[in-house]
Amino acid sequence: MDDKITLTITRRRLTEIMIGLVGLLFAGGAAAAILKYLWPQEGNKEASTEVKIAAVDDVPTGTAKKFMFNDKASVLLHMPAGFRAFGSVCTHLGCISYWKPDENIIFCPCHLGKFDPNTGAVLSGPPPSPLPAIEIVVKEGAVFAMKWKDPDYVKSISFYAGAA
Amino acid sequence: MHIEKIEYGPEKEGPWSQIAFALIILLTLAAAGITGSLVLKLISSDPSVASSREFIEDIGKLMAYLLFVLGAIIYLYVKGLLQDEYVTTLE
Repeated sequence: MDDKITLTITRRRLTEIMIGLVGLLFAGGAAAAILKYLWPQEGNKEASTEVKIAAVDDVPTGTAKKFMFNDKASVLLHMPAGFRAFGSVCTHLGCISYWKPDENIIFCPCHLGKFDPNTGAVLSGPPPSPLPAIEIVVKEGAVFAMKWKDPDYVKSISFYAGAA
Repeated sequence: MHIEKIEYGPEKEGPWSQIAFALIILLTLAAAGITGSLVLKLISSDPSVASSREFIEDIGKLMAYLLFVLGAIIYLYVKGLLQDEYVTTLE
C-alpha cells in the first residue's frame, strides 16, 4: 500500500497564500494597536518619586526645560512669577506640547491647542482639559519635581494612564 | 502600463518565471519583516514618543517601503508568473 501523500500547489497559489499571510499580519497588528489604545493600563507603583529637573541656573527666567516625570513628557517653565511644571502630553490626543516664548503659551502643534503657562489651563483649541500641574520644590540650587498636584485628575486623563 | 484584465490561465514557464517567483518570495519575506517592525513600533511605543516628528517620519518611511515592495510583488506576479495572453494591458 502506498502511503505517500502528494501535495500539489502552483506558484501562483503559493504567492497568494504568502501575500494573504502578510495581509493577516498587518490586520492583526492594526487590531492589536487599537486594543492597546483601548485597554486600561496599570498604575505606576513607583509614581511620584522625587525627580531632579535641573539646576536653577540652567533655567533662566523666560526659558523652559523638558523632562520626564513618571514616564510622561513634562515641561519646567521659569516664569517671572516663579517655576511652574506641567505634564506636556496634550489632553486632546496625546501629542507633546511645548513652551512657545514668543506667544507666552504652551503650544500643542498637532491641533493648535494653547495652554496658559502659569496655570496649565486651556486658552484655545480642542484640548478638553488643562495640563496636569506638577508640584516642584527648589532646594540646594536645583529644581525638583515632587508629585502631581492632583493625582485624581491625572488618573482621569487617558493619555496619562499609569502616571499616577 | 495599465492592466485591464487578468484571467486565471496557466502559469508562465522557463527560467525567467522561476527568477520572478524567487524574487516574489524574497519580497514577500521583506514585506512581512517591514509589517512586523511597523506593528511592533506602533504597539510598543508610548504615546509621548509616538507623537514625535521622528516617530511619525519613521512610520511614514516604513509604509512607503511596504507600498513599494507590494507594488513590486504585484508587478512580478503579473509579468513574471502569468502568461501574457491572459493579461490584457493598455500601453
